[in-house]
Amino acid sequence: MTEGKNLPHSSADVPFRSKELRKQSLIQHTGLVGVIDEGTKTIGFSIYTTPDFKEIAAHRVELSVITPQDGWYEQDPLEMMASINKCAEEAIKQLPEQGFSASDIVTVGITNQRETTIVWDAVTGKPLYNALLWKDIRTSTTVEQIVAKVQDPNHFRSSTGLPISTYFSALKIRWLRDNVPEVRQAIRERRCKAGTVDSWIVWNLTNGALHITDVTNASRTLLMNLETQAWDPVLLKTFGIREEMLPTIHSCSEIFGKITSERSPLRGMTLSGIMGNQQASLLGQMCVKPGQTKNTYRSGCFLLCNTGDKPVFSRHGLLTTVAYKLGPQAPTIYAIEGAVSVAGHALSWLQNKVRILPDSRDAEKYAEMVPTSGDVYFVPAFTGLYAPYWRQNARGIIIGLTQFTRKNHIVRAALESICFQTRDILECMHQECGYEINKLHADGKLTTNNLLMQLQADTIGMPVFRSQLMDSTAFGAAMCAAQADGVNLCQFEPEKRYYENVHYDTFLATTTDVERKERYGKWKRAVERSLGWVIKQKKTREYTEENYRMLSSLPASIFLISSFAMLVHSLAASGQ
Amino acid sequence: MAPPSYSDLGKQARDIFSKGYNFGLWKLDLKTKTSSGIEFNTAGHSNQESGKVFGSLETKYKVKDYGLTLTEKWNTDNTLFTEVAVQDQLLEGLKLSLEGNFAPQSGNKNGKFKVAYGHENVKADSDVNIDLKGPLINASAVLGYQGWLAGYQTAFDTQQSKLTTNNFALGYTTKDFVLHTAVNDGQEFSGSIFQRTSDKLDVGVQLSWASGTSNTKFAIGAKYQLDDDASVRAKVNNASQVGLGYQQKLRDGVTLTLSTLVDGKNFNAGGHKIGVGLELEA
Repeated sequence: MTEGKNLPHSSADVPFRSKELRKQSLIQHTGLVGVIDEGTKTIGFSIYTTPDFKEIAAHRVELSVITPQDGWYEQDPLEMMASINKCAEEAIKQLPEQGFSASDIVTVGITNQRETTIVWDAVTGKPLYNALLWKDIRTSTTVEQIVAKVQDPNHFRSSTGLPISTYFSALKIRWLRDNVPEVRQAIRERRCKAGTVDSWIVWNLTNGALHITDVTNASRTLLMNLETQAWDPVLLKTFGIREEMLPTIHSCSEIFGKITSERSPLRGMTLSGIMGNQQASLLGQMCVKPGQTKNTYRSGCFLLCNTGDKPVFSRHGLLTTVAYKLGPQAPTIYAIEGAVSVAGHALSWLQNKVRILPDSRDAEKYAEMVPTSGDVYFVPAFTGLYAPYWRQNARGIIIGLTQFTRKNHIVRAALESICFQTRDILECMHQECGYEINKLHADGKLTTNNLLMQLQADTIGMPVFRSQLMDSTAFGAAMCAAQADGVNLCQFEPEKRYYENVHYDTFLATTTDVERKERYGKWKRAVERSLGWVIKQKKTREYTEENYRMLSSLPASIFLISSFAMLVHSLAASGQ
Repeated sequence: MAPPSYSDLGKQARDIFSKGYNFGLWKLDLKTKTSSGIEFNTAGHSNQESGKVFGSLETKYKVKDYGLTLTEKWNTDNTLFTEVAVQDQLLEGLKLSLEGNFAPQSGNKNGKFKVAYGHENVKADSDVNIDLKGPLINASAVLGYQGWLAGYQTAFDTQQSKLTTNNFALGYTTKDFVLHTAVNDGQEFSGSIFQRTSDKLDVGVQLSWASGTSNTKFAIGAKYQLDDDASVRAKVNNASQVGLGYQQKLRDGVTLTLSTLVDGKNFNAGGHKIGVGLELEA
């Protein structure tokens, strides 16, 4: 590990805290930006100065996950809003000691967990069901229905960049309509609204005045056409979703409106930035040139590679998505994305369910007690495998156990699994995009684990640049909101200007090519052994192509047969 | 002669506002009947705004010996509709029918059993939908005496053990004049008047008020028969929406209908609609 230049070891060492520099710094400030960061496990509110984007206040709380069934993950939408209001209130309380007040907050941005879908009643404003999390797989039956209809899971890839998967909002909305009577009734009465978390937040902050989303969240629904950046009529029809239920699609950076909710301490402030959390992280780590790639290490990992102003469509299961669009007239920048569905979650699993790890935060210490994983490989396919495999019927496996295996080896193998899954995706990205990826940007809570970062560099054979911002997501969203037309707190010019926040720790590879090749080969074999584990239950109705065609032909056949029978009978009767 | 069904009360006034208008649609209807008594009907329309097309094929057969009517219908949603009806067999004025709805590719299916009985001073209707969890029962009755009509309609949801509908109606009808008033669920109050002012001119008025929202609606409409082959229609409501229609019989069995809806509040802003319909009958 190499220490980053100008790295402050603690806030006490920051030079501008001396009176003279502080005064000088205050004169330059153009206003404050607030960011609502709604992640899967935590909700936070951060406040940044401009134009230097220093975080001067923040508050975060944890969000509980409801798991009524295996593979089902839900969250309470009302708890989300209450947590956001609480965090905003607590963060604003920290402002006076920094010499600011709430009235200095010029604008607010939102960044959120993507694909997570909420349906609510437009009249009462109440959710009709809990939020279905992005990693929820209850929609697998819906996936089967839709795939049977179009015959190809990649049928919509050329228009949306996405395969038909349990992941995306369209299937969650469809599942809710088919399975929740309250949702079906609200849709029939035309009072149902559906959207991603950003839409739900904006709806609540504006008392229902705005039902909007941004193009990055919309590109994760499987309903938006990447070319037109509008809801696609073919997709709406395929999923049986009415456009009026859905939010209006906007760019990431423009004035959307004012916050009017009495319950929010942000009342009266402007809303001017919305981005999916991973796209915000890409922006926050300054990955603005084609080929620049970042990974966010959290309960899941998300790699995004900037592909510039043209979408690149994957043949190996990576997702094509909108990276950002920094204004209604700004060019749309695209990215290619791979997801690791289980990263930090594997450590939580070892702690909470398997109980071989007392605290997942001690994973580094535990894993460092052994020099290698002892040839143990852990494939954490708890809900199937995502990019680049997209296999719903895979399940987790720990392989390579011997009588010498200890729990430390398994913990280390869990860390290594995150690195191998990342490498799977980077290999795929390189093939698809054609860009040379020569370094990896990293952020997210898990990057505090130095061993993980070193293992990652060793596994991929290229430098890992760890952001010293623990969360470049909120930083990216703050920049997005601050540069909006009409807000103009600053210009987003990553090539020209120096951002105080953009400092990195660097981790260099210490392995040889031969070592990497051998270990990666073993990882591949372990993955192969995890495939095809789930065998379909006999109770499940099989939505095969043949079945669908046969069922579809029944009404016409019955009509023709009965019409002919009536005709024959009438001729016979009139002949008598 | 039995009084009309509850759902037909006030029909003459409603027809003034609905028949002969097809805003926003291109519409085609074809009807034919074979010498042996089978009716084939085809209907279709295209929405001008969304471009959506809907069509259906229908076969209807009446077996006179048994008072039996069979109807089979298939539409572009790939839904099959079947109805079997028996009339005037067990009892003069009694009609029993069973209907079903079937769309196997989406798994949707519905069924309904209907009973209707008409006598000189009484008309009663009832239907039960076929639902294993607990059917929804609809019932209505109309009493008629010397032109005066009184009606009641109710629905009972056995799944929730709850009365879900409570509608009352009162009316007066003669050959040239129909008055109808109704109270729906104790909240919606409505009235309508139909008047045949001459051999060529029919006039209708509709009025309604909702106590919950204090929403008031008022509309007036008319139909004028120009000659044996042509008629014009007009209607206007308190939302300043004006509807105009023209219907022309081109030859025996061919009828052309043109209509337009003008939004009087936003005359310059557009949003107006036109409709074209063609009916062919042989």
